[in-house]
Parts: sequence; structure tokens; C-alpha cells
Amino acid sequence: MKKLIKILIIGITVFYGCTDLQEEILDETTGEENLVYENLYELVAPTYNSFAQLYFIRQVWGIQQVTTDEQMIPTRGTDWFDSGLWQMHYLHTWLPQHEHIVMCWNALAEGMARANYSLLLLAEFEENDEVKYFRAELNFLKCLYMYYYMDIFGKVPFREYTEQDFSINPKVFNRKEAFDYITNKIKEIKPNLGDKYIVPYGRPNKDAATMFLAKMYLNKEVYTGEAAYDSCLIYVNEILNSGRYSIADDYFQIFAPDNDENYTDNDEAILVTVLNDEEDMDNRASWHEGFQLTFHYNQRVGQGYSGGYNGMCSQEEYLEKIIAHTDTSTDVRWRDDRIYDLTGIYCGFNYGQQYSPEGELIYERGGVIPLFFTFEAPLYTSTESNGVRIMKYWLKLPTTEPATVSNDFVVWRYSDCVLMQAECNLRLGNASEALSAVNTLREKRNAPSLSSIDLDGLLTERAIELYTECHRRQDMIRFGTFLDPKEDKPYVSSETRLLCPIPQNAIDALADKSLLSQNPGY
Amino acid sequence: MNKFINYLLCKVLTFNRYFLIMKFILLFLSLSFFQLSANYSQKMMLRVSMEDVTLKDVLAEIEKQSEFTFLFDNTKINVLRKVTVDFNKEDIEEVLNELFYNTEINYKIVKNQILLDNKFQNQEFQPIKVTGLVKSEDEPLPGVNIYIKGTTIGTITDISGKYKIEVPNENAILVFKYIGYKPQEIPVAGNTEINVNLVFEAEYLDEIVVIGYGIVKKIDLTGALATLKEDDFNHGLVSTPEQMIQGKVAGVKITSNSGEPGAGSTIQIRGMSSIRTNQQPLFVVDGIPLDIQSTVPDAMISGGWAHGASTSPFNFINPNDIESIDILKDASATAIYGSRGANGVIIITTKKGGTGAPEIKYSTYYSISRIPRTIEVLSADSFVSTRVRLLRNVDEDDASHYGFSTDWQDEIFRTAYSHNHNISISGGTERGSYHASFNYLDQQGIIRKSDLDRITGRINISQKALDDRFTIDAKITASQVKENRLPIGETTTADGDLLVQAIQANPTMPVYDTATGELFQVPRVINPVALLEYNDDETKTNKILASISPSIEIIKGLTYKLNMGLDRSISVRRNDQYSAYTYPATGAIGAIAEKNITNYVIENTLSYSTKIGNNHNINMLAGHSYQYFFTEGVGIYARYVKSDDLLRPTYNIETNDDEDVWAYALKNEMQSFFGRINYNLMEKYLFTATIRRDGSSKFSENNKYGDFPSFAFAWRLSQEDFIRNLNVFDNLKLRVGWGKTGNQEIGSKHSLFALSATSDSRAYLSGGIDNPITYGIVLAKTPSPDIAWETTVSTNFGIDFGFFRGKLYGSVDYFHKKTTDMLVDVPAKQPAPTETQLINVVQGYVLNKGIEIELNSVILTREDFLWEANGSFTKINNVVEDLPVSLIQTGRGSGQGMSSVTVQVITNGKPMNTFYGYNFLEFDSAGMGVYQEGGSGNDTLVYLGSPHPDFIWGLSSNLIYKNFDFSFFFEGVQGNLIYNNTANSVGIMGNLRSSKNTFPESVESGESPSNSLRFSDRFLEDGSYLRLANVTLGYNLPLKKFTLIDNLRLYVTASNLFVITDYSGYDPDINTDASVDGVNSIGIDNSSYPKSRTFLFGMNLTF
Repeated sequence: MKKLIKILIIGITVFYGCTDLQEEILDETTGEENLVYENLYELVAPTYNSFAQLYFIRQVWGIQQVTTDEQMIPTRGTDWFDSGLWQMHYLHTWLPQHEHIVMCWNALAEGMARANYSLLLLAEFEENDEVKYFRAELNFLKCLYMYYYMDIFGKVPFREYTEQDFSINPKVFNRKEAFDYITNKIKEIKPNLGDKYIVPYGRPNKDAATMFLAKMYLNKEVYTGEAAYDSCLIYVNEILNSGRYSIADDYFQIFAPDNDENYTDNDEAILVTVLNDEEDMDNRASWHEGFQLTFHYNQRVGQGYSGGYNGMCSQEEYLEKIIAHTDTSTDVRWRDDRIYDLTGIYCGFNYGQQYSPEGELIYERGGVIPLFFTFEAPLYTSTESNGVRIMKYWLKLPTTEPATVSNDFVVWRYSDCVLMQAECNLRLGNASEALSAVNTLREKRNAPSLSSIDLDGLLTERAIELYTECHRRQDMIRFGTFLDPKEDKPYVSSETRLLCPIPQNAIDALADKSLLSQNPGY
Repeated sequence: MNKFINYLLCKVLTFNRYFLIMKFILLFLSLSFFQLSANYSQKMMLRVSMEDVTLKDVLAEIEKQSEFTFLFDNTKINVLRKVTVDFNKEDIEEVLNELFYNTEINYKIVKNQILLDNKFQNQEFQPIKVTGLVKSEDEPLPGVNIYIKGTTIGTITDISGKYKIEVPNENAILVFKYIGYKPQEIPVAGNTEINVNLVFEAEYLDEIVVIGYGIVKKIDLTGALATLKEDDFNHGLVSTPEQMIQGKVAGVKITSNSGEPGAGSTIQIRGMSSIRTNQQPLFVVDGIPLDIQSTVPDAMISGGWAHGASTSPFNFINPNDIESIDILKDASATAIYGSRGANGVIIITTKKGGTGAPEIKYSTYYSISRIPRTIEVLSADSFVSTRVRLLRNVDEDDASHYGFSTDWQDEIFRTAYSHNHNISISGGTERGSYHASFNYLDQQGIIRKSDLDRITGRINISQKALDDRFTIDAKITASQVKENRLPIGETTTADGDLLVQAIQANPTMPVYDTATGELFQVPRVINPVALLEYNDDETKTNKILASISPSIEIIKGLTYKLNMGLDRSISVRRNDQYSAYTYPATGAIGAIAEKNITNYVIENTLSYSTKIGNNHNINMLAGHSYQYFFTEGVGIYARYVKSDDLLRPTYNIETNDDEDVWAYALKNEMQSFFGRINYNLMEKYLFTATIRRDGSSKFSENNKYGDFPSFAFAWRLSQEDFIRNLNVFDNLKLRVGWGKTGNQEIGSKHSLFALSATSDSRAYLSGGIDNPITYGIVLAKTPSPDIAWETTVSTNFGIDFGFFRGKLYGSVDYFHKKTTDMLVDVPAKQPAPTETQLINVVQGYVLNKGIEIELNSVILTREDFLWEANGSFTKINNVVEDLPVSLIQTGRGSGQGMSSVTVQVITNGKPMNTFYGYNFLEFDSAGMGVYQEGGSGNDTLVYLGSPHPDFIWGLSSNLIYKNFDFSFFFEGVQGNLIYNNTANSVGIMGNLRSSKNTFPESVESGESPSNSLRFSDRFLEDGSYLRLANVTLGYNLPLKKFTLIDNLRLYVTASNLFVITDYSGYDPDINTDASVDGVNSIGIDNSSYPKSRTFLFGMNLTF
């Protein structure tokens, strides 16, 4: 009995002495524990992952490409309606709750918040070169996310890196304010960024900052109403004259699965995201899902590939523009057979009858209709065969990972710089310098020289050089053709479509609704 | 010094706390057993040493030395024979065996009596005829049940209240029982005429119900509470406590998550009150609050392979062990559970031993289950002819026409046989009692390979000491549940879902390759039988739930009680996909995941009850509770495994590629202080006040503690003279209650800045991919340092009434339940680390208003015949208001071409989870869908209706005629919509284009095979139904001749005999989880394991 009473007493004592209800973190960690210099890379890595994931089909890439005349995902019977999201992109009928628009908004925000948190942690370390580079790079990436906010939404939610209380509303910049912030910030941090080869491949260097500024001034008229092509030209020339880059001899090598090995003075890449199919970097990192989204179910290559999803394709009017502009029989950008024997697929544009690697005819899923990719691709009533398929970032062979790629995505590259120089010169009235720049590029691409160039021609030149590289929407807006009618979209879109709507959720989230107002027309 | 000792104790106890508890429990168990056995044998020591005496003398000597008495008939037993005996024994049975060895005498021990019988003379005892008259308030009472105690021998009074009965001997006791009256027991004691005056007292008024931390007489109850006893439970093949009470209680809506063995249920007590998932009520088993999380690890096979809905975390409980289930519905009842009471509380009480000789029960059943109906799809012939007619370039010799005819649903469904065995022993004395049971259930699912195999053991013991001032209760149950599951269910793309594949598989395809005899598999085509055969999913869960609760009466009326409980489970789940499965051709895949849960609770309560004068009864309770929750898991997943035998214990997985290992661990604590006062004034006015102060480690520094008060008042009008004089009511009580409760079921670490290493924080910082990748660490949640409780305030008005001497009684309740400070993952104020942030939404609220009616009636009592009926009715209005967010989308659609589809929204002014999508009008001449257009000329999204029923009801009835009993139970749901996701992904003509099957109605609908697949009200169906859930016919064998067996009942039960519904899916009682980002969905049917129709044959034996 005494024993029992003892136990009762223990029972009473146990908790009165012990419980302060502090939550213990067992399978994660707090910042303080990890704030040691050895963890420097771990602390900054998340921001770079956000950067690698940015060019994803359901985020920035889809908005920059599928809203234009270059890419579409037609509804193929029961496949690919997906709540009408792809049709809305193409028809410019998207709504504030469009899932990809929401995802894009959030992905950019995530990148900024990660950059902020990493910057906060970095502030604890003593200054040295490594810390200095990372701090500048994090600021660079934060500005890059802001740049896409400004470009796509026209508004930028903003927090300083010290602001980590997420119950407080952020500041919201309009396009003008954002333009000023970004250009000033990039100019400020540019001296702190490393030179090419000093910071490793895949991280922003001084040239990336220069290119960033060039892009900003190229589009300044769109963002602020004031043109600044002369300023753009200064930065473009800085890169062109640096000697650290050149037009690639082998066009498709720029997009090769092992394109990180190109990183030399003869290379095009100015800013890239490093991807690897053998590491799980989260599925979003397969920005273009190149093969899988595009090619047909019965086109199967390599171990583990169960075939494509037969979604995205290009369209007739766009292709005809290119065909009229260049000689597709010689232009290396049109198509290339380096992996044809192994896959039955060309790099570049794929059309006509499709064959297996063994050379056998491929059929549609019923097994009777030959799979013959047509130029025509009706938005609402496409069959399995409609539409020309593009493979620019080509397959690593053999491969086991259908959903990811190891081709590094080239965000900015030298040939774009060449075309930007041409464009600035053309817009500033120096037509001959523009023509010579374009022809220099075309010569390398084995395309016939042009005798003259106008803005339309330059836009088409950009189309054939930079297709699927996430520039098309920005280009068409700058050239004033974004709203024009196209196949299955017989109308001129309203000017409000130059900006995407602010996701309703983002507006709702801020208690003060006037702080982040919806773009006009939505 | 004291502090130092405290500190030391803490150090020791925090490390070893649950081991200690286990030790205590074992110690108490052994102690109590010792005590019990000593008591049971009557502390008897028989010393008999007699030579050449009569048997009669020996018996007399035994009677003298012990508490036993012998009963026998002189005409049959020769007690005058001479015997010589020499005993020195403790055990009466040994004595008797020796004494009667090789004689004609048979004995039987009933409590303290030993009956002697002549085994050769099969004659009856000379019966005694007893007659009499039963009256009540001087009126003769017809239809009164009279039976001999301990037997089934009985009779009933006739129209003039008279009865006649033959009893075997004068020691018999007659029991008089009549509905609405207090039963009486009268020993015959030689009387041949026994007249009885029965006193009116409705049985239900005497009922004791279990409330939090105590019990109370139902008439003294102030809150809204429903009690179900063994007779009220659903019979049949039930493997979880939720299934036992489904449909039985007003205000409680229980929807099956699937028809799989051991499946979980969605329980809503008084409506949906929270936006998040985790709205299950709190389950308390014998005073131990259980964790609502699934004990089973998530399945880890990816690649579209479906995972079934979580099975019930309570399927470890043996239904035969349950004595009663009490459901606390309103806040005045649940506030004593504070922050875990907002969704109601379900209290399960297990059986205790009674007093007297041991009672051994064996019960068993065998059952046969089938799918009630399959879904009609095109036959092989019409599949071919329809494709040829509608598709260009398809002829009869198309490559997808294989020339066979297969009914794929037939291939996967089966007739399932299940059996259950339960054996229990219980008994005790005035001071100690025990109940022990062992249960084995082998339940087959109606789809091949799926089954549930459960072994449960339980020991409940109770012992008193110290002049009955000290009581100790110890309970322990251990179980092993083995589940074999199938790739069917909610987290799926259609490719990995067995049921979707079986419905839409090409009917011309053969099951087996005729040439090789192997399962027929061609690239890119799924053979559902191969999907079934080549995938394994096995979970073994071991669980122990143990508690010990000593209590001591310190002074009269003041009792201190300590309650310690341990809830521990270990679950291992193995998933295996064989290399023989060629869709997709990824080689063998294997995954093993383990989840360990250790929760314990330590509670101290002090209760005091006193009576001041004649009119003031006061009960008080004060307590403290500490709860500890710990969950950890570990898993491994590998592709291209070299062996198919992962399900065998082959942990050393060898793989060509790809392995993944992960682990997690979460710990949480709660500390609570609570109190309650019940004040009963003149048996007329009842007051209850409770308060609970709960602290949880999940919440932030500033908001760790929340206070949850409640007040209730009841007025027993029937005790007032002006009501009593009406002579109409035998009970009339008004109840008013108000209370505040909380909800804390959120994930961990929301208030902290916690960094995680996730795959989406990896990056290359040292150059290209030939350099090492950096595994970054990142904020996995947007921290919410101010996060606090979700609060529900509810008000209840109720009337309890009873008329006609217990023939009609029931209650009506109106409630108003408002949930504020909702914990919702709202879009974060970007830029923030994650898309959403879990916060308390202070502006908005969810309101549930409703009415519940329960009616019980005794319709007829005639000689040999009793007919009772019970009904319940619930109507709830649910609305969301003032949310600062325009729309919260949820209800994920599933299927090819259905990516990104959500079908429900939570929005202001509408019920929760209102369907939102396109309004389908017709097919145009080309067979394309035409939808309602908005102002801009585009198809527009509109609100399409509510998944909540207008009302739900249940009706059960019980008929007893002589030894037969018959009962049935109807349940109904009216006016809800169900989204038939399966029809949306399969019942479309486009399926024919991709060589998959579809429904005959789709062919007739005029839809073109090119029509796009989108969510519209075309796939919303009326989910109303009327179900004959249960019919049972039983027969109690008259067992006068078998003295070994006290009672034998045979019965047959049919479950789910028919459903009347317009719903076209398998069954409208369904809720597939289609939640999005933790926001609840409801009323969605996406390929759920169908419910079965079951016939069950059972037998209960009592020794």
C-alpha cells in the first residue's frame, strides 16, 4: 500500500516540475545552430534552387511562351483540357485565379524570400571574398525575381532582407519604382560580383549584371514609357567587346545535355541554371520537360521512358514566317539529326511522318492512323497528330529519368546580345550596323545573308534564333505584336493583356486591399 | 532541497517515463491478479476427515466450512449412502470430483450454490407451480415478463395481469420485468402464490451515462449527449467503432471513406466546423484520449501508383470489448476536453467484470460478402461496334481489338468470406472483478487480395482495498492488425488505380496470354489483373493501449484519482511492385516505411461530492492533465530492385539505381488544468459549470494557453407539481448550455523558424554537374509566431421528454455553433518563404445551425411479444461568412486531362465546399459540350450546389417474439450532391479513342469522342439514399436440458441489403479525400473501394 501511495506522489510530481511546453525541433534545425561558416553554401543554396526552377512550364516559361504565337497546347480530345488553362494562355482569356499565374507569382515570391533569409544569415559572417560574392549574387537573384514580377505583373511586392515578420504587409513597387530599384541595385552590386571564371559556372558574374542592365534598358520603354536604347547599347557593347564570349560554332551544342562543358571564351552562355537529372532537385527544375510534354505517347526512347504526353506544339503561321525568312534546308537552327538514329527525333522542328529508332512507322494510339505531325494545330479540336514538335534542349542518351533533364537552361546568351545590338541600332536609325550584326549571326548559322532588315524581320530573326528560350512574350510586347490576332484567335486582345492579373489570393492576403490593386481590366 | 529532488525526478522520469508506466501497469496487473484469485476461492480451506458417514453428513460439513450450499432432490440423489472421506484441499471442485467419483451424481456450481443431479435419471425436478397477479397502482398489468433468474424459462401476464409459471425448486428467484417499471426479483421460497405490485420507473431514466472524467445519471445531465449500449450498435461485419455507431445518433454524420476492410470514416458531429482537414472528434477510450492521426505510414510507391485512404486508427479496438459509446455533442459537455473538444468527443467504455461465478462467453460469426452491383460498361461486342461506328480509321480488325471478351470487374471482385471469434471470461467478487477477452478477425475484402487480419487481447481488472476506500482499475489491450491493401484510392493518377482500370479496361483483351499462360501484358496497356497481382501493399500494426488508475477516498466524498495511460503503436508498411509488371517498365520497386507512435497521459483528479440539507447536491471536480505525443518514422524507397521479394524481410535492398531514405520525428506536449461543478437544487434545477485551461507546445510563446469555459442549466419540469399533476409526462426537462471549445489539430513547428533540408533547396554552387551539389537548408514553413487556438462557441437548447409510462420518449435539440479564429493555410503576404501560411483567420467564421430529434418508443407489448422503434433526424445549415479571402479552392479532380482541376470552393455566404464549375447545358450537333456562358461570351464558372445533405435520418426497430428476435435499421441521407469523379474520367466518349471502355449511357448521350474532358455539373449527382443497413433475425435456444451451457443464441444478419438511390457510382455513402493543401473536401467519389453486401451467420454461447 505504501508503495502505491509513493507512486501517486511520483505521479503528481512528474509534471508539476517538468512541463514548460517548449516545442522541441527534432527532425529540422534552427538557424542559430547552423550559423557557422562551414555551412555557408547550405545557407545560400535554396535561392539558387529557386532560380533553377524558375523557368518551368507552369510558371515563368509558360507565361513567356504559351501566350505567344510560338507555342501552344491544343486540346486533343479528352487530353489536355486541364481546366482550360492552356487555352486561356493562348486566347489571352486568363483570369486572376489562373493556376499558372498564381504559381508564377508564388515562385517569384519564394525566390525573393529565400534570398532575403540567406542575406539575413550572411550578415552574421565576417566579410571575405566568398561572402561578398554570395551577398552580391543573392541581391542579383532577388533583382532577377523582381524583374520577372515587373515584366509579367507590373507590380512587385518587396521586403528588405531584415524584414522577417510575415504578418506585416510588404511594400509594393509599381513598374517605374521597380525599374529604378533594380537598375540601381544591379549597378551597386556589379563591382562586388566576380569575374567570369572567378565565380564558378552557374553563378551570376559581372557580365550577367551587364546583360541584366542591357535587358532592363532594352525594355525600358515598355516598363516606364521612356525609351533607353542608347543605354542598352552601352551595356550590350561592353559584352560584345569583352572577348569573353562568341557566337557558337555548333548551334545545338549550346543546349546539349552536357552544355556545362562548353564554358569557355568561345561560348555563348552568360547566365545559366545548372540542372542534373541524377540529383533530385525537385521536379519543377525540369523547366521545359523537353521531350515528355511534347512528343507522342508512342515515341519511346531509352530505358524508363514510357513515351511522351503529346502536349505542346508550335503552329502554322509562326512556322511559315520562319520558312519565309530563312532557308530551312541550310539553316542549322531549323533541324539537326545528331540524335535521330537513336531516337527517331530531330533536334529542332519535327514534322511529317514519325519513325521509331528502328525506322518503323509510328502510329497514333489506336494503332491504325500513322503519326504524321502536321503544321496545322487547331486549338480546340486537334488530333494526336496535329502540330509541329520542337526539341531544342535535346535528350541525354541513354537516359533513365523521363521527368528531369541535365541540360542547363541558358537564360541569357551572346547571340541574343548580338540581336539586341542590331535592334538598338535599328531603333536608333543605324540600319546598316543592324544589318551587319544580323548577317554576322546568320553566316554562323548557315543561313543566307539578308539584304535589308526591318523590325518585323528582326523579330523573326529573334524567333528562329531564340525559340523556346523564354523571350517571345517580352519580344512581341516590345515589337507591338503581342495582342495581334493569330490562328484560332481572330481578335485583337485588349491592352490589359499586356500584363497578367495579380492573383486574387495575393490581393486577399494583404489586409489593406488598396496596397496591391488589381491591374486594370481584370 | 525539494526543488533539487523535483529536478532529479524530472530527469529520471522524462527519460524513462513510459517505461515506468509500463512497469507500473505490469506491477498492478500482477498484484491485482493475486488479490483476485484469493477472493474467488472464497478463502476456503476444506478439511474433512470422516469415516463411514452418510453423504448427507459430508455435505453438511462442507456447508459448515464454506459459503456453499447444496441443492438436490432426495428422490433422485441417494444421500444416505455411506462414504469415507479425507480431504485437505482448497479447491471445491477437486473435493466434489473426488466425492462423486464413480457415482450417479452430477454437480454444477452456480455462485455459492452447488446443484446436484442424477445423471442417469433424466427426470426433471418436481416442479413447483406458482401463480399470481401483477398490478401497478391497483391496476392489473398485462404483458409483464416473468422469468426464472439465470434461465430463459419465463412467461407473461395475461390481460387480467395473472400469470402461471412452473419453477424447478423453491430456491428459484422470479424476475418481473415490464418496460417503464422498476424490475423486481422475488425468491419463490416455497410460496405458490406471488402477487407483485410493480412501481413505475422508466428504465431510461435510470440510465447512467459517461461524461468526461466521470459518470452521471442521465436525468441529471445538462448537456447534449447520446449513449449507445451493446444492443444499439450496428451488427454485422464491423471492424471499427465508427462503423458500430454509423447512422445511429442524431447530429452525428459518419461517412465511410471506403468499403475496404477496416476503412476509416469521416465523422462530423454537428456539421463541418473547420476548413482544414483533421475534423475528427476526440476519441477517449477508458479515460485515455487517443491520437487521431493514422497509425499507418504513408505508402511510398510513386509513379501514379494509388494509395488507399487511411484506414481507421481505431480498428485495433475489438468491438466485442465495447460496453458503451457515449457521444458528447455540445460545448457544455465537451468543454471539459477544452482544446480538443470542438469537434465533439466520443467516449468508449470497455466491459468490466461483474460479481459472481465466472461467465465465459464465446461468440463467432462467418460471413459472405459480395459487391451489390458492378458498374455497367460496354460489352466486348458493343465496344468494337461502337468504335467502328464512331471513330475514323477504326475497323473491326483494329489492333486494339483483341477478340476476347472479358468482364474486368468480375476478374477483380470476389465473394469474400470472413470469420470472427471472440472469447471472454469475466467475473469477480464484491471487491474485485476482471474481464479478459481474446478476439480474432479474419476479414476478406470483396476485391481479391485485400484483407484485414486482427488479433486482440484485453484484460480489465478492478480491485478494492482498505475498506473499499482504495480502488484500482487496470486495463490493457494489445493488438496486431495486418492489412493487405490495394492500389485504389485518393492520391492517384488513373494509371495506378486498380478500380478505374478495371472499369475502363479494354473488354476485348484477355486476362491471360493464351500462348504462354502468363498475364497478358502489352506495352502502354494496363491489365488490371496484372496491376492487382504484381503489386503488394502490406501493413502490420502492433499496438498497446494500457492504463492504470488508482483512486482513494481520502475523507467521505473526497476522492483522489490518478490516471496513467500509454498508447503505443509500431507499424510497418511494405510496398512492392514486381519486375513482371511492365506498366511502366521500371523494374521492381520496393518501399518499406515504419511509423512509431508513443503517446502517454498522466492525469490527477480530485472529486468531491456532498449533500447539504435535503435540497443541495454538489459535485466538484478539479484536475490536471499532462499529455505527451511522440511520432517518428523512417522509410526507404528503391527502384530497379534486383529482387521481387521485398515483402519478405529483405532489408538489404540491392538496386541498380535510385534509393531514397528519409526519417522524421515530432514531439508535442499538452498540459491542462480543469474543473467542474455540478449543483443539483431540489432535484429540479441542475447547474453545471466547467473550465479547462489547456496549454500546447504547438502554439507560440504568447499563446500557449487557452481557456475553455462552459455553463449549462437544466430544469426538470416533471418534478414540478404543476407538470406532475397533468399526469402526461413521466419526464420533462429543459436544457440550456453555452460553451467554448478549441481545436489544436495542426502540424508541428508552425510557430518556429525551422530549417529543413528539402530536395527543392539543392543547387550547384561550385560549377557544373561534375562538381558536388550543395544540399541547402531552407525555411519549410512560413513561421507564424502568434498562432493560437481555433475557437468554437456553441449554444444548445434541448428538451428531453417522456410520455405514456416510458412508451414514448426522446429529445429535441437546437444548436448554434460558430467557429472563429480558424486555423487556415491562407496565401502568405508575399514575398514569404512559402505560398501559404497557417494563421488564425480572425475575421471569418463558420456557422452551423441545426436541429436534432431523437425518438424512442415501445410500440407494443403483448404476451410473448415486444416491439420497439427508435428514430433520429438531423438537419444542419452550414455557412461561411466574412472570410477575408474571396475563394479557397479545394476538391482536387483526378484523371487524365484533369490536371489542375478543383471542383469545390469555400467562399462567403455559401456552405463549406460548395461545388464550383461549369454548368453543362447540352451537346451541340457535333457532340461537343455546351456550357453556360458569362458576360464576356466565354464559358463561365458558377456555383453548382452543396455537398451537405438537407437532412439525415435513421430508423431502427426491434421485435421480440418468444425466443425469436428480429431487428432492422434503415438510414437515409437526403439532398446532397456527390461529384462522381470516376464518371468524369471514365464515362466519356473520348475513352473509346484511346481504346478504353466507357458507359453505355455515354454512347447514347450524343457526346463526341473529341469532346474535351472538363468538370461540370454533368458529373454532379444527387447523393440521397435510403439504405436497409441491417436486418437481424435471432433465436435463443431453450436450454433447460444442457446444464453446461447457460445461453445459446443463433442469428443471421444481412448488412446493406438494399440501397435506394439515383446515384450511379458504386455507393453514395462515400467520401474520398480530395483535399488541397490541407483544406478539407467532402462529397467526392473518386474510385473508392466499394461497400459490400454481407450475410452473416453468428452464434453466441454463454457458459
